[in-house]
Amino acid sequence: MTDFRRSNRFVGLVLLIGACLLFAYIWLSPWAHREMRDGFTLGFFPLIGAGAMVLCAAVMLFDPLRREVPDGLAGAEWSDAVLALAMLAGIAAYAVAMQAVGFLEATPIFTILYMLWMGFRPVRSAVLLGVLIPIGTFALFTILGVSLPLGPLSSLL
Amino acid sequence: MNTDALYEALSLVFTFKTIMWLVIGVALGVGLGAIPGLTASTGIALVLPLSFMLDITGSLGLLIGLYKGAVFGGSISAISFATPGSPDSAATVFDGYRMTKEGKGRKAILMALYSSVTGDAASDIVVILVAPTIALLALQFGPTERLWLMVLAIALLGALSGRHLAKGLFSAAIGLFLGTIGADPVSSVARNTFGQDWLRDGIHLVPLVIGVFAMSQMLEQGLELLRRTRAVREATMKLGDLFGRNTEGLTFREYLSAWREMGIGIGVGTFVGILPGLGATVAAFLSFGIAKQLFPKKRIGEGSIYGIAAAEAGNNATVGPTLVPLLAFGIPGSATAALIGAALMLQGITPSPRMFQMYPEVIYALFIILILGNFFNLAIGRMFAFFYARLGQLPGEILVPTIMVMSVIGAYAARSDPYDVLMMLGLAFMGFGMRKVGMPEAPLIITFLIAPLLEQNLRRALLITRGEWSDALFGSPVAIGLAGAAALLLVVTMRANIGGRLSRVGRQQDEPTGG
Repeated sequence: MTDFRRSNRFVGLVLLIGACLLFAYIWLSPWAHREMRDGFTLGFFPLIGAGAMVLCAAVMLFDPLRREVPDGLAGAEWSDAVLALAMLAGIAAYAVAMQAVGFLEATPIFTILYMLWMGFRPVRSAVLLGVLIPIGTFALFTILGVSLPLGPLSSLL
Repeated sequence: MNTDALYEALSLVFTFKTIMWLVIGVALGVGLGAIPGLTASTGIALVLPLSFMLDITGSLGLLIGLYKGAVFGGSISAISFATPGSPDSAATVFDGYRMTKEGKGRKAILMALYSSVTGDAASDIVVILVAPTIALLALQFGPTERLWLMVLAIALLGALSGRHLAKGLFSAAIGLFLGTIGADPVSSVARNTFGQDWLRDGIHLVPLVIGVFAMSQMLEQGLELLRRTRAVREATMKLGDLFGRNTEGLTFREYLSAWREMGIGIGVGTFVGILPGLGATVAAFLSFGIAKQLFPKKRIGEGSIYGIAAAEAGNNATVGPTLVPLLAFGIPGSATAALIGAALMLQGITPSPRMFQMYPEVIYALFIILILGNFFNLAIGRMFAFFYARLGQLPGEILVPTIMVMSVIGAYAARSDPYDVLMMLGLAFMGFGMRKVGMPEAPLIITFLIAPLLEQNLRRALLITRGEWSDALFGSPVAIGLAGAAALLLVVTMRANIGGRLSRVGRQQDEPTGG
């Protein structure tokens, strides 16, 4: 990434485009202009929120810190966003699997895979911890009265 | 004083369950604080769903105990490995780690513990004295004054919670926007749902809090682990050798000799804690800096217990006072206060000055828990600090997936709604992006919580003035004063870059591990 694409000005530009689109979307929605009994329109406050975003993003383009690169973007690559999305996709898949097959069935697979992905070695320890952590978590939450999705293995505990 | 309410509060607090949750909160908090990368906000976000299942005092015990413990806990890893558990303890590294290298780690940790508890307890007493008085004043406010008070709080948050005013305010604007999704607070008509039926109830607080504070942080840490860019600090010395019984402890005389530094910490921490937006990190660095300037002969910053006393009393002295704006005005002044306010709301109690009249027993219980938490912090810190130092070495490769699982459970368990998990993940990505571009999260969560109140107060003010905008907005001298203060604050912050200067307080210090 070039310095411009890491600068506050570029961040402001991206946010400005997003905030303008959001503002336009609300403005063009029929519900936004529906008047309530007290004379307020339904879209009044959402438009204030989106409008404040537009204003702040516009300020970022011209304020004294516009050329500065935020610490978090100094060494950042686009692939960071891809990796973060991949991590989130894995977690979403885990959440779906947890609901479908049960907490004790899905969680060890998730923890083992993520520990190994993050670089935890040796594999044997990852497998052992990956099984023990979900069992401990399940026991703890069951004692606390939190109902987790149950599968065939739950009856064994 | 309402003695009946006080007795009721005492009977509510001194039960096995409440004390147990307070102890669990402190123990969990010290542990979370001691683990680098986990903060009080992350901890509170993770236990927030659990707090629904507890009664009000159990919930307050868990959350306040966790908060108190976490702020002290950060000093353990700061002293042991020069890696502060949270930014709040970064100022402790200067003296703490040097002392550890000189074989005085035990003395440093004990000084951190005693000054933390002293600072915390003293500021709690200030809260107990000040909050009811301010609340009495706040009760005189009408919707117009309350509206401008909220605007002033948002301006303060935007101005002081980061070095870039526009980003702080952008974060607040996101919170305001997210707060408008779902039912309109006056007429209950659904709006801003993007055509999605599951958004009709709005964005639920738990997925928002877990996504923005816990999961986004885990994404960031997960990426660091994957990229291996993080400098792995191997603890080259054995902790057993550093903190063994034979190493030098702290005498009572040494503790007392730091009264001036602790006094500075208490004064600065209490003031900074009451102001929305600043927080414990600024308090610690300011106290440390002032003590260093005032007492050059004490060699603060070169391995002195006095630097630890100032910094630790300073950061812990913000814990109680951060609740003052929440209790007195119903406006949370920090992310943690917002989460404690959210826990109260989930228990059916809306934080506001009326709380002192409507739920005096809850207020008294909160005050008792604030004071009691210090004793447990002292006891747990004294007994297990050296165990927690080992906890700080827990590998991130185990910690990150475990907290990810906890976050999913937390988001799911609150309502057993799979959409909450998806929403949490989406908000986590937003939080991750905010961290990357240096946008503070605190204004978002606080504005999200006060957005409905802001709208209700404006609409109520207009109703009272029969649609006259000028009267509704500037109908009293107090309202004009508050509006002027908010405008002045924004102009001064923009011109003088106050947020930038405050955030540089920490950066201007020497490299802590340098010597």
